[in-house]
Amino acid sequence: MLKITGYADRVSVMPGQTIRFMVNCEYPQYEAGVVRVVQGDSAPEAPPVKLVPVPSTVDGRYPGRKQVIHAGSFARIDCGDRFAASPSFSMQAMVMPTTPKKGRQAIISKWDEAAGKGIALVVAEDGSAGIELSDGAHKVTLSVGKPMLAKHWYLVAATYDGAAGKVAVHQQPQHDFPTIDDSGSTEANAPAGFAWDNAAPLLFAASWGGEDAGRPVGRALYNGKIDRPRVSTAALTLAEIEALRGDRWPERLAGTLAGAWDFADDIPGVTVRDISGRRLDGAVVNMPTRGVTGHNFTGEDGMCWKDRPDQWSAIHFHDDDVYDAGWQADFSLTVPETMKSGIYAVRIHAEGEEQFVTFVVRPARGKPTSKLAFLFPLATYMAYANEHFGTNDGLVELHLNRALVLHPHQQFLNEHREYGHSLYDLHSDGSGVYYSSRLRPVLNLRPKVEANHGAGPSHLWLFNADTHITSWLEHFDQDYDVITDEDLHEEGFSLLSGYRTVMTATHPEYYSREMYDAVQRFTHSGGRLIYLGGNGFYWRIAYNRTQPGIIEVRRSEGGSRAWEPPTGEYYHSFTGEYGGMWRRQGGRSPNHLVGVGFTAQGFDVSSYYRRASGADDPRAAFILDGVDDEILGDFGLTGGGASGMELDRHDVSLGSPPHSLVVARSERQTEAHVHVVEDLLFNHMGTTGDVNDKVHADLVFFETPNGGAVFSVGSIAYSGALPWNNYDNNISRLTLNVLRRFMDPAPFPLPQA
Amino acid sequence: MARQDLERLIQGEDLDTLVAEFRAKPTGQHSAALQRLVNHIRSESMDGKLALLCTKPHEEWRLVRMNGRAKPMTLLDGIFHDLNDAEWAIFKLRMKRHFDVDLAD
Ligand SMILES: [Fe+2]
Repeated sequence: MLKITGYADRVSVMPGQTIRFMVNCEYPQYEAGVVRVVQGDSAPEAPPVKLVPVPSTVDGRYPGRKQVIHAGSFARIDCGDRFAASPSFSMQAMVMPTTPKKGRQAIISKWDEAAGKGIALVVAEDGSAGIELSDGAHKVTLSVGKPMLAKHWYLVAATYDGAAGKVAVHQQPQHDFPTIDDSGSTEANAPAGFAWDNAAPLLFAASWGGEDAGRPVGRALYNGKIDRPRVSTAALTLAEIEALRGDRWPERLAGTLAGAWDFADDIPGVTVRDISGRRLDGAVVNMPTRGVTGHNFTGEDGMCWKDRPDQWSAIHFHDDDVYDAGWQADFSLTVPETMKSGIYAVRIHAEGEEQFVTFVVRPARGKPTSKLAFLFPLATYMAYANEHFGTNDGLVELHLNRALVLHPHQQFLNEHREYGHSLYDLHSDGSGVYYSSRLRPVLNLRPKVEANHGAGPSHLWLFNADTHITSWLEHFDQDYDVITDEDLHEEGFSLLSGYRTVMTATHPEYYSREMYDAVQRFTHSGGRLIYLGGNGFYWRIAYNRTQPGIIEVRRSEGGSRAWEPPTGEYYHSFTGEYGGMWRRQGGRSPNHLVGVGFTAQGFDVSSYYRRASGADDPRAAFILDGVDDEILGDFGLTGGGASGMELDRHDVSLGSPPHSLVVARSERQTEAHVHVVEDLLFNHMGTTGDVNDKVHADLVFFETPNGGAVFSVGSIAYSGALPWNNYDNNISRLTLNVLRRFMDPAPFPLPQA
Repeated sequence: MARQDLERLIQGEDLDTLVAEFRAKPTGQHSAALQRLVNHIRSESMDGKLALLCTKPHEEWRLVRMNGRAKPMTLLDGIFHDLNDAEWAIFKLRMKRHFDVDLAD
């Protein structure tokens, strides 16, 4: 099991800036140093791994220490001892528990776990609403005793009457079902005048586990939605509780209402607003999901939280949410002005174990150091961060059509769920993961790592597969800058405008509007784009405007997707933008941008391209200059061919420019390569690569306004062919032809009618 | 019952021929009957699924049984130095598990 993990406070850093590294190492000491990542594929069939040591201030031996992650989201209201003078107390909320049988879960608490003291409205061990009350010496617990149904809404409340010495609990389902007995109230005697108050903050969805190295720790973590929580400094009757459940309250209850929170306030951010007038505002911890439907969502008053915020006044908390691991820094690097733009990693090793923390040195703002930029697809790497494909769903083997091979980091992540999930995973309660952060160790973003989806012999996916591209560039002495998605999102077109050519990675799948528009504008301003992958420009994402290093996806409406959001959760919470595939976002399909769009996926064995009629067009003659072969790429490190894994098809009806040329087309894809669901209305037989013509990749070229051009390969496996036979092969040759022409300033004339 | 499931999958094809086809090429395009058969046995849920843990990159793989989400996997007897041999070992175990068919090497 891994004993070294680590991350950095940023992935993209420019000269003069400082990047800090956080390391968890269970060995007494370790050595660290910086390497430049050129080739990370360790398969014997690949060129040798090339990680070039770069002397830096990082070099050295460091003491190891264990650092842990405290996952689990909650909301925190710092209220000190505000309630100490009024022992009577009521807590209530609308809740939709998703794992009511999980065990004790706090819904609203002012409960100090270390002292065993406080008051809490909980989902009790028996799955029903309960109260816990303790002065540290005596503990009173009471629950309704009728388990709540998962994924159904309830009004739940707990009260303590400090004068009369009584506790009560209420649980009312929003819907009644025959045979289900889940409504009830119960009360019991309790000591009067209990001194339950403590120094813990008031929490929603957790109890207070204290602080660990400056980080708040939630215990009794709750899974599910909470909507309209209220606390009162009096023991309310059930009628009074019901009177407070909405958004308008009787005057007579205002005096004892101590806090009422509207989770629809600041959906894009992290604050939780008290609208009672008592100003008990707070903030969420570990980024629970906002912009989710509340108990009163109708589906008839608009589908976006911006339309009717009061119907999205809920937060979905998960016991495995994690935003910022919050580790202590172990060392840092201030990037010298002389450090060349490129992909780097800190290599950490101890007692035969090796770990990497990958980062990018980008050029200073507005100062490219090359005419070529490699666009490091950080958003897609974040989308796949710590994916659990190999350990969550058994049907993964039918995507692979080969045995499931797990790797040590996947074994570790399966058991260490606190390291957080990818946008392909489900939370522990079965809901889709909408957010992914890079402020945690991302164990699949490193050289030498293997993955499930990339086929043999190399078995690479995303980052490490992308080093086939960087090693190819360096083999041909092509200099390049490296820039990341995050830079592109923040700076837009101005980041690209200084480059003649931008080259993508093998799978640039996730794009924010800012990123998409920047690339589009680049291609319409004389820029040249080499799209060296498949299933690119596919999902729309959103960045958070106040919280760095986190992205959101809502897989709305359709698409080849790992989960689907429920109706009413199709809009990003971070921005209010509609989520889903770019092809549903009006004239912005990948076909519009790069001439091809996602058409098929399969992960067993790749195939080859056959030269197509576009190759004979004089406009495209430069592409196959010196390549006489009819068959292109019947070899490679990813599935043994250049066309495989995820494929894109040229289709004018989906937006491919009518003047675009198909230079080559793949054929004979395996049965495991299946036509994508977004192209299907009725499902039908014959959707697989062995029989369906739409299961193929197109290699496409077209000119763009102002002398620019686009070249797309439409296949993730393509780059695995570049290093084949020591970079001497027809795929390498044709790609080099394209790169050299694209680096030539001579404009591409637009073809005449 | 298991035998009927098997017959439904291979639809009159000769099992020995299909087994030989798998042994010769476990990965990639199979004949229709073999593909139906492997689709069936590869659909095992994560709780109990047979899989491989890579113990030396590109060199050594260990047979494991998955025990479900977040639960530690169980290391089983069986260490392989060729992925095709590992595929074959899993195939044999699954033919026994799903259809009570004993296959020799
Ligand atoms: Fe993807």
